[in-house]
Amino acid sequence: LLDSLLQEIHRRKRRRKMSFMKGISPIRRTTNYLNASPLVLKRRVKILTVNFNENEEEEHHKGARDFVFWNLPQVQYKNPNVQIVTFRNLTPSPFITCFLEDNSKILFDVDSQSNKEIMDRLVKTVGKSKELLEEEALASEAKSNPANFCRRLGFDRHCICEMPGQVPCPIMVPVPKHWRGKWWNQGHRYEEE
Amino acid sequence: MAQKVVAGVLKNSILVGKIVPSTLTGAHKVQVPYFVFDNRLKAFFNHHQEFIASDPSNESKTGDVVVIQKIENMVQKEITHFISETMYKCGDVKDPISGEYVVGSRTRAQMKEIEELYGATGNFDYETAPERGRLAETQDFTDRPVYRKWHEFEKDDPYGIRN
Repeated sequence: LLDSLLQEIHRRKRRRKMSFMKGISPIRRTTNYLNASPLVLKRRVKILTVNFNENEEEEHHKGARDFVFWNLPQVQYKNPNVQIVTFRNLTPSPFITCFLEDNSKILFDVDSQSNKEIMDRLVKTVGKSKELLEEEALASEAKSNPANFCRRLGFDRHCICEMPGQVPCPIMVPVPKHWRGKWWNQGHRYEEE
Repeated sequence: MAQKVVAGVLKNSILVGKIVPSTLTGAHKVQVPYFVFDNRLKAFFNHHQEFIASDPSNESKTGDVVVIQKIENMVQKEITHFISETMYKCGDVKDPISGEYVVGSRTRAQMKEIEELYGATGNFDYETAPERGRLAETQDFTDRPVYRKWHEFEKDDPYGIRN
């Protein structure tokens, strides 16, 4: 949805100048745009090949051409380890091929389909589902949060006791008895010294 | 000089590339295109990496688009991949959807039909023409890389060109 909206905006707002954004449709060169694609390919997809023709008169290739122009940078950004190759003017019909790990391939005939339809189709067939992506996003957040402890799991600190100014580790310096929940709950607070 | 980091894509077990002219005898040089992201410009730029791949079927020629696969146990240090599949044979491109031989945006059948409508005679006929490759050493010099020549020797090497 985002990229179709952006296409509309681009067509309407021609007066506005983006200073360092040189080239055709420089909105494609923003991190927000590159991150906006829903297509994260499944791990077994290693190569994505797009075959299309550049001739403007071939209307049935328009969707594929738009896909390459607007969406391919997004796909490559989200999938840096997938080899993406384009073949121009080879065959009369446009198609997309996905090569999988086990040497099999999936062929998508994208004749007369719009780039949005192509994108949706790819997400449905070879893309990770939205739920899976959300789970992975959560998991990666937990990994990168510096506030987490446990050296064994890869974080920097093993315990708050190693930070200066905090209560030292009870291995080294025993904690005052009246700070302990055990002392409190066993009724020692009612004892007279 | 900082060490250039090898792109993660090139470590994949399968890659797509085009066979490029080389002087190798038992293997082919495959040029693999890949995109590298420039962090400042936020754009992808085309890079090429060449791999040396052996050809188990011995059918591939220069100009073919092939899928190469990493060899698990390397016999020779230089040959890292082998050609597992030919995607498009140079000059005899087959459309994977229709299965017909294709030239650009037309099929061979369509081209023949157009020729017949125009009444053309003596045109190149794909069906009756001999197998590709018969002019390999005599008039087709694409199998080995060419170089510029600066001196006329007695024996003329066709791979040296003057332009």
